[in-house]
Amino acid sequence: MRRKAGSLVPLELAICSAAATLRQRGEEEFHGYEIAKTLGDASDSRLLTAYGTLYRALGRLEKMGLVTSRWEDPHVPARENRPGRRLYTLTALGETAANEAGRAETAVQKRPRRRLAPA
Amino acid sequence: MNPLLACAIALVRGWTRLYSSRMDPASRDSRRAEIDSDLWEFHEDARRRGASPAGIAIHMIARLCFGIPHDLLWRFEYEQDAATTYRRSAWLTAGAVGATVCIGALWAFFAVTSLVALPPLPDSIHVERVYLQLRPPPPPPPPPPPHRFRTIFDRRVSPPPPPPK
Repeated sequence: MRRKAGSLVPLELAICSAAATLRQRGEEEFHGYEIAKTLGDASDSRLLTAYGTLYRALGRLEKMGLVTSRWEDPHVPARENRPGRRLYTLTALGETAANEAGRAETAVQKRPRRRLAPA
Repeated sequence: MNPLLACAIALVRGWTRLYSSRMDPASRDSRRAEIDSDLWEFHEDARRRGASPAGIAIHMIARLCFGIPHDLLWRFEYEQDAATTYRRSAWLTAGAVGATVCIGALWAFFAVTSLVALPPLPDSIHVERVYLQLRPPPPPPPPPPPHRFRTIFDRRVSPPPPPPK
């Protein structure tokens, strides 16, 4: 099934929300594993988001302008003896999407559950 | 390193290499480097938390398997984008070639028509003179006899007397 252009799937909204949470903690930039871990912590899931699922979603968010990315300065990973990280930043548009997703989630939670009428 | 963990890392890297092969170098290297970074971060984080190597390996393989459909879709989307770009560039090239041919044809047309309207070159005049010198021109016609009008003076004036004999 094809998605509507510009529409976000739940994972993409969750990434925006997680990035907004990280920003509130003072982390402006995040890398792929960091966001997977934040998503896992938020959903109490033991299994992290799959590689393909996560990076495809991040790529789509970047295409839509909700996040931007850059490769970190190569001196930093060389000094720390680790592979270089691709650092993502949530844009203003992404923050708006995250806020809207949060509001929609709150509205769903507040909605009273329908009870079946007794026969 | 635990052989199972090494095998899991090799499997993830191998799969990434496979589905990102024959792509443009920027996209291919970016995706491979990103997965490498994720593998390293995950391994280090799990090790710090005290997870067993076998557990880390199984987690890695699970993340790989659940992501395979998305990897394939990602590659499919890339191919579609590349095809669209190729089609657009093909149209642009065809348009540029067509415009060049049209301009060239117009230029040739105007060049030929303006050559026809040009005056003869000085060399052709020279050749004509040489040709005329080789064949002598016909003799000029004899001049007409002088025509004398008779006037009133012709009647009065008597002709001169004949010379005496």
